[in-house]
Amino acid sequence: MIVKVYSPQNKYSLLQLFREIIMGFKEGRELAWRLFVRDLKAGYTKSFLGVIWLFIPPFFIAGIWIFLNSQNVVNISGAPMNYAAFTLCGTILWSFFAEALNKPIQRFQGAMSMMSKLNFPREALILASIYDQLFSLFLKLLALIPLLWVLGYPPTFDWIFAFIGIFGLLMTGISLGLLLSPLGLLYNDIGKGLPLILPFAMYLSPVIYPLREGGKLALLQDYNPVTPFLEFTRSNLGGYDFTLIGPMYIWSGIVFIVFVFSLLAVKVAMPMIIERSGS
Amino acid sequence: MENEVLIKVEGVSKKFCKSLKRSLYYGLGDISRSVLGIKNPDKLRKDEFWAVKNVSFKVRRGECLGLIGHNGAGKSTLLKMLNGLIRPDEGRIEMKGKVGALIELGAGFNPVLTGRENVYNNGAVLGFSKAEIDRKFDEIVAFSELEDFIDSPVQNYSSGMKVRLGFAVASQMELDILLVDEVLAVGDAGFKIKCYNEIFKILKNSAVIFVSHSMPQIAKVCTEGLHLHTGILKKKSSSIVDIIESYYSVFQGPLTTTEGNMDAIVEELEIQTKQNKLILDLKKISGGEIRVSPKEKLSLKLTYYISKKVAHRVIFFITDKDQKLISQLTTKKFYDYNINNLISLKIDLEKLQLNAGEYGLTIHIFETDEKIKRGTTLYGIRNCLKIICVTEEFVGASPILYFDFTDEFQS
Repeated sequence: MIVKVYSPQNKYSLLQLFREIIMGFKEGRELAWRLFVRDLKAGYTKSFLGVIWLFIPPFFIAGIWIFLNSQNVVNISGAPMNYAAFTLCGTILWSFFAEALNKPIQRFQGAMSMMSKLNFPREALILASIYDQLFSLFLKLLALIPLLWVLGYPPTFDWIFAFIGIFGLLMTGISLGLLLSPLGLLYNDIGKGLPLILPFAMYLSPVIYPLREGGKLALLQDYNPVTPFLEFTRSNLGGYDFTLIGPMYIWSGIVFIVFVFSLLAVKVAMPMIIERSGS
Repeated sequence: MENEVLIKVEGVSKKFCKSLKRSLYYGLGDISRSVLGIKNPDKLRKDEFWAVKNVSFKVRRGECLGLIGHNGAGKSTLLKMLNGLIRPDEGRIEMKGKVGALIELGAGFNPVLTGRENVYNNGAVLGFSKAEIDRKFDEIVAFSELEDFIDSPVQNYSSGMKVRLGFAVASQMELDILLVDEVLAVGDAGFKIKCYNEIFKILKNSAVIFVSHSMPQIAKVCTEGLHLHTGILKKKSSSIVDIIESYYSVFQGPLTTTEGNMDAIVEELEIQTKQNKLILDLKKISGGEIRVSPKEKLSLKLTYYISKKVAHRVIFFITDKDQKLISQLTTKKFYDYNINNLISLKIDLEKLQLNAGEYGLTIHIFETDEKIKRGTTLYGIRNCLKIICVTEEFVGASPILYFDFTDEFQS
């Protein structure tokens, strides 16, 4: 028989918390899938354009930059690919990362009233965020692949490696999102600030322009976990050389640590958040 | 394993903060400290109070604990802690076995999706696998009696229908511990009865905690009671009557009030019991109190005058502590009097027939004629007398007792 003991937070051991998190993921698999399907169905039954909404933003941004570049309003040179294909890849991958970052807070916020009334493994919500992102990735690839083909980049064997980079982007986004969610669930400031900061961060990352060498932007891109994963994915898609192997290893390690730490933080914080802002 | 303790609560306390802004700020600090493994302060900070303080109890398999207390006494907080939604600040809770909660039914229902889809989703939230729900789906729908609407979106359901579906899903779990928090208030009478039967069924081999403001419900279901008052355990007893008594004792008795157009004025009410005699001066609109036994012989003498000539009757109501009418006595019509002359009405009641508990007496004098049975109220006084009925014998929880009957067993 399962025995559950609830006592004040500070009497918990790290090992026990990890065990609970792993159990939570295990028990929450089916629930996560249900939640994912539920919200997908519910989200698009009341929308005329439906899933098309997931494609619109990246194509919009890419379209603007392709247009501006072709009109020589801005002059971005040195792209290692056809510029249209390059920005398209960049913006789609960036939007994938940005969505992943927003997802955990959105998921938790949406489930707040449920969490304050029912006891279910909270990890299911994290898993559901990952499912959301995998689905979004599927749609994005569905659009990106034919477009790249048209622009002269037919699928190659290297594209399989691109998924490593995509996985990196997913984990970076989810981990940062999880890390922000305890604060973001207590205070709305995070939710208000992210839409402001993320587009700005995009222009500071090598998304619509190639990697810089020297200058302040180069410094920023070194401290940016998105840079190596995005570049790795794009270089595999576009068949050009990837130069950031070292940083990618380092960032992978850091992201992993952040991920584990965020899981712990969320686990510890959630009852306190529910107590203070759950209804 | 009949007497296995399934719920063990030891010295549990929980503090809350009155100001939301400060609460969030404290939360931020608490979370940071907890994540970094630093101890959180034990003392109350500014604006904080104990929502639950030092509560201990045990519930065994087959027992049902009734949790009562006024609004804000800490019942829901305690249930949330038992359900593992929030952590206690002090003490320890041990829950053995699978826990189910009928707290807010249908939490997690998505309004756009159909009842069928929501059954699966709700089931998953409660910890069912798809195969289990497949197996129980027909039972769930049959229990909820929503066969015709199961494929309509839940947003078209009434609140009662949502509760039906929610209860049907939640009650199908095989549980060791069940927490019930006033969920049955919404359903219609037929469904409520069905729910009680279901809870009785679950009760046979689980431990149940039942929160309700309805004392008859508590008396019906629970084997043990616990009265929480401002977060503190005020009384714990296996006699539900004691608990209900304790619950009512914290309320101030209902106020004595008058009503009617005051064409009639009552001077006094004389109450004669076997041992006592009490004279109430009702002009002062203040109440009195008598102690009686269920078989008490009661004599009432009411003196009043009326400032116009009108056929009237006097009605005596007895109400329970919830101000619900329990019984009444209506006199015959009276017309034969002079204006502003004192009228004296004497009533002899052979047996009061009330069960143990506290009751109130309300008197109305009203106009009556052939056409209108119940005319204008000339005078009314509510809760002018508190009747405390005490009995040594255990006689259940119904307010009215019958004594004059014959019973015959045959074998």
